[in-house]
Amino acid sequence: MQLSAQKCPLELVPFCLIIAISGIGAATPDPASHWAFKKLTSPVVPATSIKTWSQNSIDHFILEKIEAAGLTPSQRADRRTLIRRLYFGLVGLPPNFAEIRAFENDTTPAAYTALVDRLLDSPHFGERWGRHWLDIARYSDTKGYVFEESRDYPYAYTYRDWVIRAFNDDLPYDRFLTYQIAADTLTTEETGNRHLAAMGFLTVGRRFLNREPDIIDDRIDVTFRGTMALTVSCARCHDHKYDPIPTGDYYSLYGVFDSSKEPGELPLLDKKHDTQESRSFESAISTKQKQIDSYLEKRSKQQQQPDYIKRYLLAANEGRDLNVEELKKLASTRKLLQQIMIRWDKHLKSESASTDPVYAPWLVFTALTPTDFSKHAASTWQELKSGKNRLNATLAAAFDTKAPISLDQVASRYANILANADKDPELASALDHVRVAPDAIYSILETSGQQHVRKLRRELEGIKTHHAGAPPRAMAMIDRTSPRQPHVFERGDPGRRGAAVPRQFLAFIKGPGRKPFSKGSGRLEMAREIASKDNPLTARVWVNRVWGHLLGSHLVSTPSDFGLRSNLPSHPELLDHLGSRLIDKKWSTKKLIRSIVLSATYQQVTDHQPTDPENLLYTHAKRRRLDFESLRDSMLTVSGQLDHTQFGRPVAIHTSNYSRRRTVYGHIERQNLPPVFRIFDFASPDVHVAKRPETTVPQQALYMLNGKFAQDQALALINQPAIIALRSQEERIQYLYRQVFARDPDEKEVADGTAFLNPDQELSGGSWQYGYGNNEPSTKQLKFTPLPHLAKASWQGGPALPDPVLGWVCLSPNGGHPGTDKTHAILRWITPADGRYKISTNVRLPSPASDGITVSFATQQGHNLRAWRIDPGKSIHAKVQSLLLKAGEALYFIVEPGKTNNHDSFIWNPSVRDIASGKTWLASTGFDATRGTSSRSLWAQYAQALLASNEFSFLD
Amino acid sequence: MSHHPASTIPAFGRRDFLNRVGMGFGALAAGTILGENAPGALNPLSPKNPHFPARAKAVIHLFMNGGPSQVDTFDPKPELTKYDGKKLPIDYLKTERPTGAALKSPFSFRKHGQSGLEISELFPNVAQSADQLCVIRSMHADVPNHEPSLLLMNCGEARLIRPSVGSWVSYGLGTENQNLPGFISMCPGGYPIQESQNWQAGFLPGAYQGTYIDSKHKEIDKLIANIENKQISLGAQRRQLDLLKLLNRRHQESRSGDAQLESRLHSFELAYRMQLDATDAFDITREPKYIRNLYGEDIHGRQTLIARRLVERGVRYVQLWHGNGQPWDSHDDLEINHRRLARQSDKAIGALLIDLKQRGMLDDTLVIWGGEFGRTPVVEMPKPGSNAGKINGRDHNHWGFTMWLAGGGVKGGHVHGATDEFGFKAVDDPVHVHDLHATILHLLGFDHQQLTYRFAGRDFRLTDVHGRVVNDIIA
Repeated sequence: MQLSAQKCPLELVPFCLIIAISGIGAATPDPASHWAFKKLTSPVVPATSIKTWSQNSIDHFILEKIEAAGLTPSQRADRRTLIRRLYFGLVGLPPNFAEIRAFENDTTPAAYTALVDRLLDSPHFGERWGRHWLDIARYSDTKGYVFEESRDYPYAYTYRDWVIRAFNDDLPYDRFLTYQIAADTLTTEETGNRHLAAMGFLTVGRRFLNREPDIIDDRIDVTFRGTMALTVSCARCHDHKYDPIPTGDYYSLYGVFDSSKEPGELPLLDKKHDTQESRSFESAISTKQKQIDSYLEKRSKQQQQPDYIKRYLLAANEGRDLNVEELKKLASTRKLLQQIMIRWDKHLKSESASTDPVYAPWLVFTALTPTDFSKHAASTWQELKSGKNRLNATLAAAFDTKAPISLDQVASRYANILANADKDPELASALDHVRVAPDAIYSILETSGQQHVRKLRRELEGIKTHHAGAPPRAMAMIDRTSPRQPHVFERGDPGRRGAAVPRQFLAFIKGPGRKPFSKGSGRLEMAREIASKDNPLTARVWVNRVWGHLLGSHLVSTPSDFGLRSNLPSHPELLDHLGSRLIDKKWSTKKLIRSIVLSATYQQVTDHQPTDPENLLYTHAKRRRLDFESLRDSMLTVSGQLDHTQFGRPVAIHTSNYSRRRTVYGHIERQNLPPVFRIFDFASPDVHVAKRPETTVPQQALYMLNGKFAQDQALALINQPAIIALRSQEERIQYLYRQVFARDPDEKEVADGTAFLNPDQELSGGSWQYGYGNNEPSTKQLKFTPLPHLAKASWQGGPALPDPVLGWVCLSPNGGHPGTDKTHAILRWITPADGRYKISTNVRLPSPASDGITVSFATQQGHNLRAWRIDPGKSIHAKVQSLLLKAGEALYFIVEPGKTNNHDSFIWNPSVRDIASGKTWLASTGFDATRGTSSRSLWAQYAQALLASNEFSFLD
Repeated sequence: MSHHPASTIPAFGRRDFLNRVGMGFGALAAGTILGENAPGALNPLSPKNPHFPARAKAVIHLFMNGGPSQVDTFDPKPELTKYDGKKLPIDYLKTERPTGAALKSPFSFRKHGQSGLEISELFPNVAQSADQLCVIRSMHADVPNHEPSLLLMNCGEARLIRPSVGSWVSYGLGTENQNLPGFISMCPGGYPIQESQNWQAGFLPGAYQGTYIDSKHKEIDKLIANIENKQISLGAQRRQLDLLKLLNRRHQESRSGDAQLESRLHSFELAYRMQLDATDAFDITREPKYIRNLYGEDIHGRQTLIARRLVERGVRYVQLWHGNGQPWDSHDDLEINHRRLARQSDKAIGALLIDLKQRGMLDDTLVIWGGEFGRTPVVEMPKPGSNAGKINGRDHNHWGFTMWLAGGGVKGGHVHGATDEFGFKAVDDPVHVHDLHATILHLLGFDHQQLTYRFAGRDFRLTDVHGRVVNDIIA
């Protein structure tokens, strides 16, 4: 069994690698002179010798270094390459044939710029760039490992959608960041709650079994590596080993997050809409809630119902000498609640009980021995009545009528009187000790009862999560009513509180004039510090990320670590130029992207420059493989299957019944990320990812060859009405090339396709065929027809046996069943070369209920070689020691039934051996060789090969 | 020095390579084309050299999830028997739940082999290889809870996202057979607690993550995703691949010298062969009958035999879980449950040790047996909702527990360390999980302090700031 997280006594260990393993001896640079911590400058655009190449200021910075190295930049790529590069770079989708042709034919000078602007305005722009940001934000639709609660983040998608919209709307980057950290403080009349969804940035992380320090650490990490490329989390246990971040600063920021919380009920994003779906949602919620409420009410009331009162009374009496643990056990075996049992026990053992007007008689009756209870009951009652204790009148009346004959009966009378005591306040209050309100009963229910309630609550959560009519909510945070004072946790251990620190920003950014945050948690102030034009890191970090996505390599190769141990920028002046321009242009990401893609640097050809093989100087463009999203979205696009629906709840994209929507809308399960994501280098949803790994593993190829998704797209392609309408193979090949590669095939490519689609019709030598037929008695001709249907392990007449037409005839790799005298089971083998062959098979007829079968060998049309009869339950070895055969000649293994074909299943192992070479052909290995040779299948394979090709997967 | 994933020299000579891989065509191609030539840089799993010559080249980790009891298996405690039913005369250590009197082992121990290693009656088959076992009786971990202890045992860190041992090993060594995944984790019937985090790649590239296989299945397509083409025969697929190769060659004509293009082209050939090799590796019917009988044909026999076939074919790291959830977690009815669990696994594990030895594979295959922690020598008090009404089980115990290693360069018939006289706490030569990790890496040829990966501004390693190699157990 698992412990709840709170009880988990974690011994915290220092988890950072203290020794700078690869940095021993290396001089640590001085923070004050570290390039990334210096104020952002606006360097002068350098002059270059080559005058005709540059398109904008970016190119001057790039060209300066190329020239300094004595090299030259590359020429501009052709239009086809450029439009594909732009489409994938800006919207993550391929251009189609018509779009490419139109762009190629548009010779106006502004054509390229117009294309760029069109793509920047596309609603799909945000789907591409939003996903880049979601890598940074370690986005997931689930919490990670949990014990019993629901694993889902039902509203994570509202954050994903906010990010997509923010990019589409070109929300200024400084506001983009500020909203994600502190939207709760920035809601206005005009924006409403819309921007609250931005705070998913903080809250969609892993939940670490609800351990608060780890959750906050994750939030600090995503915030500071995400926006400022600072590894602040390194200072959790000790001062940062390289960067000027003392551990006190970590806890200053910790305090900001610790003074914030997620509201119990997440805020609605829109006003409630009254739609059919929303009404159905409300009704589903209220039905489920009622189910929970009524169960709790039932259990609450149950404790005061007569049968329960009686059982408690009797059990309390029986257990009066037991200790608490034993009493609990007794309650469980009697199906009573332990806590209620204890209360009864206490109540009846209390000092006042023996004089209580209600319970005193009970206690006296319990003192009687069961064997002579009835003998003494009446006198006992009389004694009680005449005693000095007052007795409850209703109770007395009940016992006056007739003396009880057993303690059981006493308990029954008590139960009935107590349970129906509304009019008698004294009796009513006699049950006070066991009254537990419905909203309090849960905690004292037996395990199965609690499990039942939890199950219902999970179902309620499930409705909130999955119901189409559930209104979207923001995964927001708010400030706590009173902010919390942070303390340093010595060596990261929350149990070892050190000095108090104020909530404030990083010392090395703010300098000696640093002041503590003063408003609430300080989150807004922190956000403003991050998104400030005076912050030396934020703009640099963002332009570096954008550059990396577009060019394929970053100016700073450690995009989420700009600390002292980061690599120097390859082009520091360009980085600053882009950064200061970003701020000048009011933090517009679209303008930043526009200026980069309009540069000559971006538009170069991909041809390798041997003098700059790693492209450190950007002397050419980098050829890039499509990432997971682009690849999947492209396949759906060209197959005509892509569903362009935007936004909303996540959809399953890895299941056999996958959604055809863009991959960015796929459900991301952080704990058990489906292998297809991992295989294709998808960003781990567990840790902030600045650069995806780029690997080539055979599992990717298996997915493209054997995966249902790839096969489906190939089929969808060849099933498009337009291709079906075409007559010639050449036209169809051309259609597929236009659809998949958005170009026409050349002659060689058409020839390749034609060759693939028209395999030799002749059966090749050494091949086996599984069929049926018979010897026509009139003509003595052997009729052979291949069996039409390949089931999982057998060739047969159709999907089910017996087939309506061909009956039972079938052949598997190692046996079969004959049909009628017209449909013998026949195996055909084609002789590969002239020579002498040995032919043999064992045949067994397992069922004694058969009436026997006959096996024979034959060549060509009806030339019977030899036949063997096999009796039921017996086996034989059939062989022809040496037989001269000509190349191309057919050899037959024939099984015919006896009078009936009942129970005629046989087992065999036909083989043919070339006596000269010893080479052997086994029928079992040739079993399914013809699978996949139909024309339709060949077209599907052809289309699939195009989809699997490098041309489809790579971008020049 | 950080260990670079792209170092390219194969860890062994070509002949060795072929011998080890058997049907090694794919692996040879991987070694020569992906390992030595330029495209290899893109293949994260190309074979790589460790820091120094390795004693072990592969690992089979038999994970007894839930935590087997040491005093009932490999750590006999006669003193405990004397106190049966009485309070132990020591201060009780805090474990997950309240505990009570001493609970003697219901199982008898006997000396086995030349070494006289003491093993309980639960493992008669494992005991036949007593002289190969290196029993560490002084293991200890940090907390008595499954989740953090599983993560500690698998990833060296109890809470945060870190790569698993198998991922580190794949990162460091690559794998010898590119036609099979390099790191495979098999668990019949579902996931253990903490699920796929147990074989996570963490911040390492996804290629290093363990490939999970639900070994309750027998059909190959349920074992490995997309391993079979349901539509076309292998012959037809070969034709399709030849077409694909042609398409790619034409595409490359004007794009020569780009390693990524060549590498992707090659990955399809690897995939084609993986279909054959994986099908072969997982098909235990290709084993002779006496071998299948040796392992037993139940789930454990099957997955253990598959593990041997995988390692034989060059798979680097295989983890076998006892079952989904936490089967060894005997909070009550310990005698019944441990007997059942041991009976399920003993035959297969015993067979594995004998089989590896017979094949000469035990020398460079490290077998690891154990759970995420052990169990208390004292009885666990009953608790409603779990072991209510039962006073016959043991609680979790991270203070001291037993694991054993075999092969791969460790001493055989050897006992390292000891728990106190009752089996509660590791007292002599204690071995922390970090130390075990350091030792595993050492046996595989790595200095655990130097196998690092740069992430989030610093160099991470499996053992964090901890770990020391347990030299006493190395032969």
